[in-house]
Amino acid sequence: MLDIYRKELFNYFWSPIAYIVISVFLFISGYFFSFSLYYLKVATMSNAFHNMAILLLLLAPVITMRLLAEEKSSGTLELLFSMPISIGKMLIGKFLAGITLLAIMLMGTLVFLIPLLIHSQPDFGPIWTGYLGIFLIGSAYIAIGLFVSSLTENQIVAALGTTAILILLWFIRYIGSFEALQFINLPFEFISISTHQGEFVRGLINFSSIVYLLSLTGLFYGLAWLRLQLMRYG
Amino acid sequence: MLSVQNLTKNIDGKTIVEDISFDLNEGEILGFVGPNGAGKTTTLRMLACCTAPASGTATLDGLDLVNDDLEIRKRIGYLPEVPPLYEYMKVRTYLETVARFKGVPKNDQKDAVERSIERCYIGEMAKREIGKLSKGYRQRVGLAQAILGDPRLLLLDEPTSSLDPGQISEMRDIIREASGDTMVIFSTHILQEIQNLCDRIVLIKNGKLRYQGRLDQYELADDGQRNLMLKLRGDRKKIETILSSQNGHPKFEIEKGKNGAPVKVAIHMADSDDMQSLLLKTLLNENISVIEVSPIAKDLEHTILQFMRNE
Repeated sequence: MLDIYRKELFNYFWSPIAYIVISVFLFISGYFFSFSLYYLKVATMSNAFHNMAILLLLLAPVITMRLLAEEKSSGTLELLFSMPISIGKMLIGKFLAGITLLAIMLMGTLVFLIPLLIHSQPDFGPIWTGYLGIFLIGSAYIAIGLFVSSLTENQIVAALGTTAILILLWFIRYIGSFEALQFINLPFEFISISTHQGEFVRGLINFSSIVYLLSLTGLFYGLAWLRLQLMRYG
Repeated sequence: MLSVQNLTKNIDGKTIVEDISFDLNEGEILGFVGPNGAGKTTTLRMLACCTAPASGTATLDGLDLVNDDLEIRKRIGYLPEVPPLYEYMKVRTYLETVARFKGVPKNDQKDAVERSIERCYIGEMAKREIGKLSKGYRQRVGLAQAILGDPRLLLLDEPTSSLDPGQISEMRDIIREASGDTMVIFSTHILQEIQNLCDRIVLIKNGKLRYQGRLDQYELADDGQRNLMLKLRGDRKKIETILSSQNGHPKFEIEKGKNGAPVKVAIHMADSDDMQSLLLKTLLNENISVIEVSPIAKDLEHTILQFMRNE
């Protein structure tokens, strides 16, 4: 598992992907944070977390698109299948590499706290819960991306497919705003990632939100595992 | 020892490999021969644990292919038809990565990688990025990963296809050296390759095993005949009469030539030493000088293809 993790990290940092994703994430989230702090005069991180979650809808697929699609297209999945590594451990190694990149991106945003501390006396409660929330949301994004990447050999298709699922999961709560569909509003609101993101930035550690996001991560990890099992044993 | 029993694989409801059984002993090189689409790759993929059989099994040193697959994978080196390379890695980094994947003990990893580099003659390329290597070198790096860690069973899927003649010859030498105590299964549709490399062959067509055995046995089993070239001195008509009156009525063809020059005869007769010596005695008794007797090498490619067609 650690060997796969190491190889994936090597791949991220050998290619420009990691540097581009980290730079774009920090630049855009930094821009929105500065706009919120200096223009709207809102001295909290809540807008920043919201913007980060939306930004990750577009950037998480770039992190995950090559995880399995590239192995399939280059034939190296055959190499991994013939090695004494279980499919479960292989996927954990790949998932953890994606999570590491996410963690590096989020750690970069800690510099936002410096102007916040200079200009105000922030309440750290919602900041830490916000970080917990964005980390759990990012983990779910990466598990979804890992699964979609297992379905295709084409990295662009993997990225677009992941983006489509993530956007659907983000905006699905708004289905209830159609009058005819209001009776099913509640389940859609619950499965929408944006609902849970709102809970975390308010400083709440909502047990059901944590369980939901971990379950979403587990579900898509399981689907990716099933997909590879079928490829090998089907 | 590898023992394959009734291996069968279906893909999308179609039987790709059906009831294949064969054994392989230490140090043997087995040629897996058949036309494209015969089921060679699927069989090798099953043995490499890349896909599971629908039924049947194989045991390697007593370990079961399906139930002990993680243990079996530690003992296997597999080179698919397209070498599985991480193009962004340097050759040495790639081999170090594969050594870790294979579970080579940490203290042995460096030596194992060096040995593999040395055996495949890729020392000068060790610091080069794989994506920038030529086809021949890429194939060698692929072979280097397969032999890394001294596997008990080496599975090579058409390792010489798309290489030029010089590269083919080098690759053949590397495989021969790599074999040692290792069992090697070598798939190819280039029949010349099996003549040069393999101890035994398995012929496979439409997913079914058609023949297995030693190459020389195969040649005998072909049609039970032997081909000889005789160089004789004597009267052509007399030679023709003697050959026509031989027991078993061998087929023969007398090469046209000048009067007085040695007469060359190609003869296709029963594969029997007694029959051959009887023929030679008769010729000598009739005052025909026998200058030379040589076997005509059979064109294995032709005979195997004939066999395949007849099937």
